[in-house]
Amino acid sequence: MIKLLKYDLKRNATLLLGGMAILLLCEFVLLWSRATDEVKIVLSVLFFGAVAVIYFISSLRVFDYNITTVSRRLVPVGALSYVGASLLYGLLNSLVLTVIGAAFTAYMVVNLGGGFSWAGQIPVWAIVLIVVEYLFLLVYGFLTFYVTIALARSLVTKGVFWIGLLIFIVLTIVLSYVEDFLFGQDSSALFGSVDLEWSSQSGVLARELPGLLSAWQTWGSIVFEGL
Amino acid sequence: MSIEFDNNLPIYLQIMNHIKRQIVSGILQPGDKIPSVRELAADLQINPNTIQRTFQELEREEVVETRRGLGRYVTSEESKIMAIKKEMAGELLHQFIHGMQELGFKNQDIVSIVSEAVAEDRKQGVKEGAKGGNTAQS
Amino acid sequence: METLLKVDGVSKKYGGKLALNSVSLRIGPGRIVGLLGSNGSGKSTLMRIAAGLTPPSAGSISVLGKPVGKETRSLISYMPDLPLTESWMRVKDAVAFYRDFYADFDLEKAREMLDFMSLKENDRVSSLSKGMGERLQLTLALSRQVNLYLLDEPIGGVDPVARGKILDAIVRFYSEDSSLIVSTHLVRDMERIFDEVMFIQDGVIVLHEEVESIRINRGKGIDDLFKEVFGE
Repeated sequence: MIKLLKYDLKRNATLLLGGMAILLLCEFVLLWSRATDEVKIVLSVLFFGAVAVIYFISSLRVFDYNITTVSRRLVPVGALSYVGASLLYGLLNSLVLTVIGAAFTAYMVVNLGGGFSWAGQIPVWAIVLIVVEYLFLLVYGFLTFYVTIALARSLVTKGVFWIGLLIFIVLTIVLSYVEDFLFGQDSSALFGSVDLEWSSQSGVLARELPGLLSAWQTWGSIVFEGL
Repeated sequence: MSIEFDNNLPIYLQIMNHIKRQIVSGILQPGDKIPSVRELAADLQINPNTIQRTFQELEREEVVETRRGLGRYVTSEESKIMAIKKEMAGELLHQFIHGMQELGFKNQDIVSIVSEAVAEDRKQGVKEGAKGGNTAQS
Repeated sequence: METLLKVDGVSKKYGGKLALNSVSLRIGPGRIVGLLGSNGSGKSTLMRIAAGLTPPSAGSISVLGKPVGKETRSLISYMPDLPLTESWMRVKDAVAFYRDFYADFDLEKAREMLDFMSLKENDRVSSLSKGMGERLQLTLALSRQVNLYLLDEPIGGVDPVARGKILDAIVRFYSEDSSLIVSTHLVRDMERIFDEVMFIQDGVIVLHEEVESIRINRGKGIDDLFKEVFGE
């Protein structure tokens, strides 16, 4: 698995490093520019978002590559290794982005007034919970997309990646309706941002996710073995 | 080493003949080591099993012998070499006589023509002797 | 010794088309086998099934008694007719990839063969000509110590010099415990390295014989027989 990851990283090295370099450059330029605070925040979030999207798509492409390319499929590794490697790739990139994002956010918060006085009021367990929830969301998000890609691929074996992407967007929409039906929750909560309020709701959310996660995981591995 | 192979005839026989011709013409001397199966297969780009079969046949005919641990060697028995020469000459002669007969020559004529030709050839050979031409054919 | 490859009644359907129709065959060890047929005859499909890339629609296939699957990936070295290398790689990266994933990869052998094929470690894979690319593919495939090598069109679209080198490598790196199945439609160039040949036509094996037997019994070479059977 780690070996697969190594090669996934090497293959996308230019994209990842380039993206990061450009992001850092843009953010630094913004910080030191003489634009208004609002503009700075909006633009920096935009840049950030753009790179995040690129990274995300890259992670999906990595997964697709792992399950499609002959050179990968000839290798004597278990089906779950492909998922694992792609997941790690996605998570790694997300974490790097998160760190960069957090660093800039912190810098901005400090510089634009405010500061972290409210930070001392957050209990430690809540912070841990946020982190865990965040990770779960990421993993869950990736896995959902992976499953849909896997399904799409089983239909369109030799097609270009973008066709698969289209198919899975459609499937995702279908899936979110299914989730609505199954869990009676607003589906945007499952894909949405982390709630900054430490109510017991966060606890409930975290517990809901593992259930769905394991369902997707088992379904996913069945599909992969089949492929 | 490059041999012209005819894909329509058994390859192992063609290699056998090739080796025999080499022995007869002196390229391979009695007692010389012949290449291993691998070497020959790689040289000629021929399946190693085919080479193996060739060697087995050659051994059966006692043209080559295996010395355990050392490899395969051309037989040192002069009588055997002479037998091979006759065998190959016989083929050549048969083809030649048949060819000449087809041209219309009678057997006595064939003999005299051959004597004349050999004499001519010797004269030519003397002239070209200085060139050190190697008349061995493969 | 055991049968190396056993194919029993394997069929493969693609959409409505029957690419392989109840194919059965056995290959023993120490053989170089030619899988000959025109394009679309089913030879690539058969190889892909044997390599475990796609399951048969019917029938079974096993290598050294083990059904084709994850386990057999380490018994088979498959060289498809498309490149296995990634465009960012240099030759040494491709070698490292194989070394990382295949425990049976022989680095020394690979280096030797790269040398033989005039490939340099720092060459960029993307800058290699088709012939050089094929040489690399073959080097990687043959440097693995496995029991069954499946080579799909190793000399297709390759210049004569590279062709010679490739045939040379195949013959040189042959061993008695393993077998090679080589699929090609360039019969004349390759017929001398085969022990036996299988003719496949429209997904059916129409002939499976030893090469020298064909020459002795039918008085013709494989290329001529091929032209006869496939009516070129």
